[in-house]
Amino acid sequence: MGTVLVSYYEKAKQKGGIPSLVKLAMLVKMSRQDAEKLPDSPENITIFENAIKQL
Amino acid sequence: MKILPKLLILLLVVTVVPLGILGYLAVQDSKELSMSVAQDAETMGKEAIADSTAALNSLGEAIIKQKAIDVAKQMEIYIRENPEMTVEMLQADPFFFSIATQTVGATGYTTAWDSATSIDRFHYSDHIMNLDLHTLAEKTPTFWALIRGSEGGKTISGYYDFSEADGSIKQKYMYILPINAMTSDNVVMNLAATTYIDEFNAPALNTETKINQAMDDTLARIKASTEGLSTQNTIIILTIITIVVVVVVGFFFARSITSPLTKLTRVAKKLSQGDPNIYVPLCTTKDEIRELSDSIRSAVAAVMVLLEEENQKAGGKS
Repeated sequence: MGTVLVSYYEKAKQKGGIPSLVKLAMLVKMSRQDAEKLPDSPENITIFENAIKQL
Repeated sequence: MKILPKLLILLLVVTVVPLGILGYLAVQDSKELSMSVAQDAETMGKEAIADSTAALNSLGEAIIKQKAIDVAKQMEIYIRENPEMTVEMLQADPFFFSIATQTVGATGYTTAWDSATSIDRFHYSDHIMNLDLHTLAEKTPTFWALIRGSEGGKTISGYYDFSEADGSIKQKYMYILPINAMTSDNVVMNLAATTYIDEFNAPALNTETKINQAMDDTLARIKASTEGLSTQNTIIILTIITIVVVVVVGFFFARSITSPLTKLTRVAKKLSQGDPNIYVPLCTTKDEIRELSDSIRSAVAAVMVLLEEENQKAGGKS
């Protein structure tokens, strides 16, 4: 569960380092641990995709 | 003091206090209005009765006057037709006697006296027949004033006090005029018609009694309804119901605000204590509390991500 979602944190870190990582967490309102618990549903993936675009 | 009791007190103050003031003012206004209407009605009733009484009195006076004129004319015709008759002969004549002593209204009568001597010559009562009316001057001064006013053949009318058998005094109206004929013994008489004026204004007085009774009943009912326990009880019951409704509704309303704030406060406390197991509850409302909740969730997520990053670094070094 949540493996795709967790991968977005790595993408954010690669994109802009710690500040991008923090900003992603603030946009999706959850930590990596919380994302692991969520299913990789299309809705959740869309939320993360939109957040990544804002970085 | 916490927000919940503050909100409850505020709701109670803004609802119960105006309700109490409005209730008090409404009772006062309705009392004043009712009393004003009742007083106006009483005034109108009294004016109507006064007008009716005056009109009936005038009507009674006119009837008494007309009766006096008619009887005087009948006596005049009879005396002129019988010029040989003396007063004594006329007194003995039942027909003339019946002309001279006619009834007026229900209890009144006509009477005739010698205008020169004021000795009553025709009266339905044997006690008054041939009585010198001067003897009544002291006992009935208002009556005597009218008799004396008619001396010299003058026409006069007016009210006088009449002493009843029970000692009470009632008003009578009398109309006096001269009989334009002389008996064979050279007697000229005056004729008077008199009766109680309340025979005519009695309907108005009866109506006045009924109106006064109705007004007393109405005023008593107004007083009872505005000052009685029923009105006060209604206000008290309404106030209690309002307090209960305000407390119940206010409690749930206030709790809908304070409950998410309390949960967010717990989250903030955990965050300040460095507790990693933080769960920020989702807020379903669309208000400022939702915005606060989202902000705290973002802040918590950011802190948690930083902590995770620090933990990863620490794990990598070890």
